[in-house]
Amino acid sequence: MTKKIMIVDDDPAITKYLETLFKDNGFDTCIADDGKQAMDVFLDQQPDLITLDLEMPEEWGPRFFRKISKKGYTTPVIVISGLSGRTHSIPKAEAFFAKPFKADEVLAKVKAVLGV
Amino acid sequence: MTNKLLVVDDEEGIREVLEITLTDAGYEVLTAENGFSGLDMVKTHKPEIVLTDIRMPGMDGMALLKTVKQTYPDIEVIMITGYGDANLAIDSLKIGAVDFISKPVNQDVLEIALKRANDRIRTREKLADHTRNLEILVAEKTRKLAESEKRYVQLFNESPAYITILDENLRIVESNNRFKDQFGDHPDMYCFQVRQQRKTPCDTCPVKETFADGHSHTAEMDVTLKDGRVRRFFIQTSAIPDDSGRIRHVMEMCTDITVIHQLQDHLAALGLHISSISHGIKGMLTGLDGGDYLIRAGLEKNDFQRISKGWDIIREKIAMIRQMVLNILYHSKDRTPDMQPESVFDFIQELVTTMDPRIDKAGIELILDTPKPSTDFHVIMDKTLLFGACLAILENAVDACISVANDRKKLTIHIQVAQTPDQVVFKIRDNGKGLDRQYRQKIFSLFYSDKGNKGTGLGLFIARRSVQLHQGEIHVDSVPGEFTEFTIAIPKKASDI
Repeated sequence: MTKKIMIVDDDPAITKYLETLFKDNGFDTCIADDGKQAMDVFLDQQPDLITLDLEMPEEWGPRFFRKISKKGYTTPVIVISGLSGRTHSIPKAEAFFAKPFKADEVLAKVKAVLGV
Repeated sequence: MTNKLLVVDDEEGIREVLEITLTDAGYEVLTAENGFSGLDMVKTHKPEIVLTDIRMPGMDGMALLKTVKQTYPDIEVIMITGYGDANLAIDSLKIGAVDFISKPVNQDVLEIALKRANDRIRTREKLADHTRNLEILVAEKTRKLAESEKRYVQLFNESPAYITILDENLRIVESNNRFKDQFGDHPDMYCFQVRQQRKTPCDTCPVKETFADGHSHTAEMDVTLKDGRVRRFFIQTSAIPDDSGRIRHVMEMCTDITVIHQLQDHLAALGLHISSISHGIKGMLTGLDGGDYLIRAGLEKNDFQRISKGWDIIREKIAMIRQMVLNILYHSKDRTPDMQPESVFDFIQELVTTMDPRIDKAGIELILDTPKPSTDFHVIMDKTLLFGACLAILENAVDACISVANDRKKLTIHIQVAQTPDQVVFKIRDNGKGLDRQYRQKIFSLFYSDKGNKGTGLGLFIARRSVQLHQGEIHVDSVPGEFTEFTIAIPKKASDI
């Protein structure tokens, strides 16, 4: 069954980039452009993995992560952010990639986490 | 050294014998036959030693002795006594004779008496020399002391710091010239009155602490100079104890560190600047990577839509980089406003023409309440500066409208220009998402943005600076979810600027 990746980032250029990258590699995707909207998308789409930006308007990434964790979800999260040195903000994240990231490395990690 | 010596005796034989003997002994000998002529010789020749017979007709030896000692106390007088003159001899010693010898004159006794006279003369000379040296020494020390005191007063007054001496009640008992120049001369006023223009002592007072423990303390404070300017001072204190060790006064030395503070602010802003720019550039680079990926993938798959999307992203990121670079360049340079009279009508037209494509695309209705050609007037302004400020506000208004496009039936931006007798007032109001109180307070701060990766945090900061360069005011009013209204008011006349 095709795995679904949820992309959370407020920059449309980056969500488009990741969406195309993941789709080209056989994944389904869904998109949220801020932490607040992310919860609705998450509950609706039930993704297998989340790539999450940290700094976004309205609500920032770690708060969204705390919310889904409180609800008991253990969906793996990969942080992709321009804020270097903020790995501690989501300690349970599977990986932390600093922008600008290397597409091959992100893909390899996604595949490893999803076991494909 | 040859001593001048006067022999006074009424007996010529004795005078001759003594003259020969004493001349042989190395004296320059003068002779007189009685007291009166002896006194004349004394007045004329000022001998160092007078050898006089006690008993002589007319003025005797005792009278001569008295007169000589009264007039010339430094002349040593030796009395020559005859048989039975013992009491007179003793009396002569009491009134100043150095010695007496009896007739017939014995050579050895004469030498002893002369030696005693000479010793007394040498001692007196030494004493006079010593006194003279002492006087020179005292005069020299006094001069040095006065010079030193003058020097210390000069150092106190010209010290490159503001120095005050305070008593236990924080009253200024002394201050240096630098302090008086900047704060005025206020004898007996309290330091907090003069420097802080307060009625009560400051909450943190290093002087009080020094009075309490005797140690030096430091503090940083804002002070107000006599011309009303506020400066930042670094204050250091030290105790001035009296001889018993009790602290009677405390010295306060202040240094103006306003420039250092400004530099610290600049450095902090620079750090923030670099961090913000670096964060923004990371996002833009990632976007460019995305555009590059879409174009390459589109070329591989011959997918024109992907290429087009990728190219759009690259163009958007290039525009963002250009804007950021322009803002950084603007922010890094000091600019003197180029004030010229400008038509308000033309100004608004140009602003609207620039923003029209975005406003149109977003489906926003633009309402203009601005001068028509018939009601147009001119305002003295730096058009580039004020245009940039209004453009930054308009762009924010468009973004605010776009963010609530799905919830609003009608999106509007209202531009109004009105004039009061002294000011021209520009208002730009949108019915977009509005600003919460926390954001309103920080909206003009450097690098503060609520637009995530899309904002640099420079636009409104520069807008405020541009308005300030016009000696104008800018403020924002907003209700979250309802509206945001920016008001710019600038003085109307060039003379006001």
